[in-house]
Amino acid sequence: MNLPRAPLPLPPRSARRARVVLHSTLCISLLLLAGGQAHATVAMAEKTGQGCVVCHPEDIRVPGPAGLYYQENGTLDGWLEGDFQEPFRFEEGTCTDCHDETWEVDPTPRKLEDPHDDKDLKHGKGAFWCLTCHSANKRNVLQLFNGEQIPWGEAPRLCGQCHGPIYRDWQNRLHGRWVGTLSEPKPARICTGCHNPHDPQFKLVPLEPAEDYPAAPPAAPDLPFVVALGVFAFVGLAAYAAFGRRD
Amino acid sequence: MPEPRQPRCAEPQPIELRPPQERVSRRDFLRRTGQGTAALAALTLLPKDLLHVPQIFSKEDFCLHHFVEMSPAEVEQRVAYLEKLYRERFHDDRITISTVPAPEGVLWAYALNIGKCVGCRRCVKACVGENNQSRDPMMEWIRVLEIEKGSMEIEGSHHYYEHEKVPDPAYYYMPVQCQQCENPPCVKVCPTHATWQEKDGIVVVDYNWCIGCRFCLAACPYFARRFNWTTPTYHAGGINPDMHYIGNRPRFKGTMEKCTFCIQRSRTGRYPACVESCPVGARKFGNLLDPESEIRKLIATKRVFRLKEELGTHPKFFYFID
Repeated sequence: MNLPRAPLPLPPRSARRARVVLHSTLCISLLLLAGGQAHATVAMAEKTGQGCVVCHPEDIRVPGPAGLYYQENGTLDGWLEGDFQEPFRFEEGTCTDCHDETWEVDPTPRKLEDPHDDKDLKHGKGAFWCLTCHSANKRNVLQLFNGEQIPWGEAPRLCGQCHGPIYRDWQNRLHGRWVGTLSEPKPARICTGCHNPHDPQFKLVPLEPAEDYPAAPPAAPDLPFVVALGVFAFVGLAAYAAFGRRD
Repeated sequence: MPEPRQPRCAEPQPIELRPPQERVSRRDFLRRTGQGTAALAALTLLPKDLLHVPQIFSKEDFCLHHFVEMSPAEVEQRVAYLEKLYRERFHDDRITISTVPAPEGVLWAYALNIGKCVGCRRCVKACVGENNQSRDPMMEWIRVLEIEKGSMEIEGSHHYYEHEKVPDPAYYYMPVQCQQCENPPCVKVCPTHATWQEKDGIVVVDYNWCIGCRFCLAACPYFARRFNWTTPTYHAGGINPDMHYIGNRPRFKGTMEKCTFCIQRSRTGRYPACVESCPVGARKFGNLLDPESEIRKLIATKRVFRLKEELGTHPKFFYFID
């Protein structure tokens, strides 16, 4: 039996309007949340026990080498040292562990045996011999052409005997890497810190990755723009609901 | 007989006023005004955590002055506000923002030995770390151009090269960054004076004053300016806390940025990050007004040229060969 239904009683007008307002407010705040324009705060993340990574996995990036260095040291000074090792290093004073100074020295150039054969002497293209730079009697020092014996730390004087212009440039801070402050610059390393004295030509080095190609422009309109439109529309509707003419 | 001319418009109808009971009474008007206001006010009752208010809507940013025009008190207030903002944002209490002015009697200049550069991009990465450059999208102020040996054609160069190891024997490398021109075209075209030349010769940008019109990007003949097309993203925790207001403080979407010779370092007497990090020592930096500086000695003794010298921009960035 079909009885004509009585029309459902509508809730009062003020209640309907309140519902619209509430609904729009919720909707817009949800839109803001979902659109990535709203961020849960750290406090919220701590409360829920879930970090930002839950929603933004790509926002937490692995720091690059420089970034990691900053994290640990708070400065970039010294970052490079770990990356570019010195090509050649002999501890001063260790030569005499093997070379007894009472030994008789054979100054004739010849092919060396172990342990020195792994360091092929390429410097000078065959014109040099160990004793060109090393002292014959005292192995822990270097020797200039004039017979003066100098410690290892003064190697630039030795190199400067042949490479005069470069030595002069280095003294004037035009050659080599200089660190410290502008008022008190200091050389990052001496000659043998960068050039292997037995094979001074620079070796090829690994390189850092290139910059990304610029990304294509986004196809969709900007989200904040859409949100702003939504807010405008809501304000307009609310104003209309409040002040609009009713016929 | 011509027909009588028809009137163009319909006859005006008398306006029927709504019956007085449907007119808005004063009481209704007040009530509805109150309801509308309450609806709008309800928005502000939402927890602030949910609504991410953009930085530009804050009072401090809205009532902002140009950096040059700020009084010392305003600068202090501004720096305090930004430090608080950045410390919260990056969770790093070491962040400080310096406003050190240009020292007297200094004109910074730069020189680069293209005979020594091996193209390893250590300078680029050091610059990224030092100057808080965005990692997504990638923002890099230095471009290392790879140019064929025997050619000086920059148009034929490219900076996206990848090798296993460098230098490639067929190429030489020429890093290009802001040339800090003495006659900078980018400054001339800026419609808002958001970029200007400091007394020590460094061209800087007030990131809050820039409107993002990109005139300077088009005017720069060295392709040295970069624009934030989207919101920059940084290394997590990898932010450099040693910041300068017109230097490496974090930028935002819609602003222009560029090399500042590491203004936060050079003004405190340190070498720029790219100079310190160059493993072959190809980069030199100094005061052009000091006869004892590297730069002056270089210009006096080496073969020096400047990029696109014919444009009359007078770059303070010299390339040289031993």
